[in-house]
Amino acid sequence: MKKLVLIFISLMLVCGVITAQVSKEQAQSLLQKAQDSTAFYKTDFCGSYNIVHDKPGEGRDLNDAVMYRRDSSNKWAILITGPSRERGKGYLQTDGNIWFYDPADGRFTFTSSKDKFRNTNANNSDFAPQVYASSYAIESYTQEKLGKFDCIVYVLTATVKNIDYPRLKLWVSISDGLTRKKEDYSLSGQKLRTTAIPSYQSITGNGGKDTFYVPVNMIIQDNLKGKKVNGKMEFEKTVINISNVKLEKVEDIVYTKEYLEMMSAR
Amino acid sequence: MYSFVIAIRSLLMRYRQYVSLFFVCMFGVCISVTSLYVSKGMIYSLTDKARIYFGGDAAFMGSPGCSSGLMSYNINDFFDLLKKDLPEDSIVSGRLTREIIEFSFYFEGTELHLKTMSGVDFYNETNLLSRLDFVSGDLKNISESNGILISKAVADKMHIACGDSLSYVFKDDSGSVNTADFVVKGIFNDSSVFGIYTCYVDINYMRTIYNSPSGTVNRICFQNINNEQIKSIHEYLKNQINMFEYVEDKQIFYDALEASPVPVYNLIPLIANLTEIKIMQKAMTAVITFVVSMLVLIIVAGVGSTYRVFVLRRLNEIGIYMSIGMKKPYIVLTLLFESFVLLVSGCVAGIMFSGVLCSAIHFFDFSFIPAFDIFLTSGLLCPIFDISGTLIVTLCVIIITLSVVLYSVYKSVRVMPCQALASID
Repeated sequence: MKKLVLIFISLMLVCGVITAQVSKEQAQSLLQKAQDSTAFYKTDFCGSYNIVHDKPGEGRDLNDAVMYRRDSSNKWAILITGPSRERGKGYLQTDGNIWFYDPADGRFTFTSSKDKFRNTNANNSDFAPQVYASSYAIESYTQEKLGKFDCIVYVLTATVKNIDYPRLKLWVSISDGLTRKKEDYSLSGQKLRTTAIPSYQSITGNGGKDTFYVPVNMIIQDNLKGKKVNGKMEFEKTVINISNVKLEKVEDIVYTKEYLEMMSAR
Repeated sequence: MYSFVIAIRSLLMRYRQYVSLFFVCMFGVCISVTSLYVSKGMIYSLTDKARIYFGGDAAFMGSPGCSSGLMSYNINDFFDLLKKDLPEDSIVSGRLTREIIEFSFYFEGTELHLKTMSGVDFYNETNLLSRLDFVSGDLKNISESNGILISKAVADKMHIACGDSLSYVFKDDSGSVNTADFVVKGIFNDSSVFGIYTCYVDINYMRTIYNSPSGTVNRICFQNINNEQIKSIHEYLKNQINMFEYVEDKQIFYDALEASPVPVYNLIPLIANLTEIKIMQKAMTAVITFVVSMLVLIIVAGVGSTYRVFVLRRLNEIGIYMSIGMKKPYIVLTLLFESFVLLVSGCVAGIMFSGVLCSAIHFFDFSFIPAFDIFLTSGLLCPIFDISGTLIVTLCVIIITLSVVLYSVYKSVRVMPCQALASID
């Protein structure tokens, strides 16, 4: 009897494993879902960002900003609202170019998506829709548990040139297709950055028709930059907290240089 | 013969009068030639650093045409062509040099930016690179490895020692972000513009990390060839490939690159890279020439005018020489001999004292002077003996002073013997 029970349990486990295996199509579909969850094509996005840059041994830098996104037109604008010495500065992506505005000299400077945002560990491209499925190919994928989440762990290789990182390792939760963790690698396989997204907030938008998931916070750790503190290597870290998220149409003027100039003058 | 003996006797008898003139001549010549030796040593030190940085006495490079930049090419396509008719002791080696200011090195979390990465063939450039002033490490076992040579200024700033590992984050030739690890194999002392933000790595390792094909270089460097040989090679190559005209200012070549619709090549001598340095060298030469001229004038004025007084005071003696039958030319010759011996001894003493001064200067570390390191070797000034400059200074002093003395003496011997005898010493 005991033997029968053991055999039955083993069979159930094997069946469970077989049924739980994700097919390649399912994996690709989940990856596409993870990519789509980072974009808001049906509506505009507006949110408050609090960015804390932790430099070991040197203290913290804090920045507050308001972000506007119109992913359908590939536009976004970031207005720095704090601290007071940084207030009025801003970023604008329009027509495929990213501009940085400094009210001190009243000039727009061309920058790149690969550049760091305000000398933190976040790239300008982190604030835009991600391209996991469209610019990367799945090299391999496995199933893994990350905390309480059952995830598919993707190893992605870039299929286009001039991309931020040629290799990614991505943890996507199976249940909701949301990115939980990302590791950015160089071509030679050296880990450059780790991004963790512990939790999401669900926001209803587009006139109540759709539900979107926006990270509550993102923790980005640089795996190269840091300092030895008390004999132990500590790396720089940036924590981005997102709040006051609204998913509704924003005026067109927000995505213009004039808006940044106008807001910085206030 | 008698004139010479009388001149020497007169010098020895009146040595107290001539001591001050001797020292004026000695110190004037000493400072003049020391300035020459020091400036020559400074220029040599600068040129030596440039030679290491640029890879030798000349570099062959090419442009794809319609472009302001240089191109990478395969060394094997040109190697046999370039090696033809070269002197036996000359060395030809390829280099792959990249500007890396936008990329980063990381050491224990700290980011570092360097300006230039030179991928060198350590096997062929051992003699050249061994001229780097190593404060730690050396060139052993660096060939075909991931070793890197960095400057002491950078190593001190980052607290890097030999054996430490650096992570290099960059974009390779395909535009992909890549990383590579380097191990510090040598730290050299060079805080000049050539060396401070330059690192040297093995060319094959550099090709590997940049995904460049085997044999890729962007310049082929020549060592141990002189300007005449460079021009000869240039002429030979003109018949083989599309060569730009021989220039001694590389900017002329660079400015013409965009206008060329086809690939164009050139053999750039080392001096063509030193246009700004040539301006500095001319300025130094002008200053040194001015200083030497002033010192020579001081000697001439000092000795000439003082000797004029001496001659006037010796009119009685001149009268005695005339009365005993000495002809005027011989009297002039006697007096000229005196000043000649005085000047020659002063010049010789000045040159010898200059040697002592140069040896003393060599012991002082001048690297504390900002931006002066470009003229130093291991932080020290290394004066170089300049025979032609020394001869010119010495001859100027002697000939000009003797001319002034001759004028004074000639006027004095024109007096009548009785007038000369009537004067009192």
